Amino acid sequence: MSIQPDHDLLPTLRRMREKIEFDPAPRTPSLRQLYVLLVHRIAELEDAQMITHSGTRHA
Amino acid sequence: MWAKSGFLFASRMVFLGETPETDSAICFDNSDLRRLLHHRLEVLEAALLELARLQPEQPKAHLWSSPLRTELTFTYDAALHPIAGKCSACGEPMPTPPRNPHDTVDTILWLSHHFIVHKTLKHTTSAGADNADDLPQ
Repeated sequence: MSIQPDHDLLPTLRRMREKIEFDPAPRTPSLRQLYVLLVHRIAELEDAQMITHSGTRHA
Repeated sequence: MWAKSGFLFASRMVFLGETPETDSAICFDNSDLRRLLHHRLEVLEAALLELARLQPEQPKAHLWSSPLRTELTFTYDAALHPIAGKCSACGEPMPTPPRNPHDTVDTILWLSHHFIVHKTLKHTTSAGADNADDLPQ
């Protein structure tokens, strides 16, 4: 069974983030926390993707 | 299988826990994502369906972090803005971010980037594998 690379999830996570950002309803506490975790996960995946492409980490 | 799981997940409107109190610092890690998704499925339903369509034969266990892995744990203030973070594996706190309540995203990214560097330096083997499970607690 193959494992889906994490960077394949980036577009989906970005769309989830955008849905929260553009949601006109007030943010509930749980949605705020979800947003924080989404932003962090996206940052992690973007960093991993950048290393994959460039082979080095940018400070 | 994935699509079915996605629909089942979306249909389980189960309230698994109380909303955290806002008068004390609350720590959440990424393992809480699964529970938090239950609260606003009307907003996230489309994204979940897209997740289900990604690769139907794939397991979804890798989508969300295992609590055993090295993760960034956030601490929130009363307004649920992230104010601090620490490594779940070794407990090392991340540097204190600049306080600006209007820039939550900047605070998250500040903590994220420090955590990424910390994880790379202290919890990653030369082969690139996360070795958090091997560290002493």
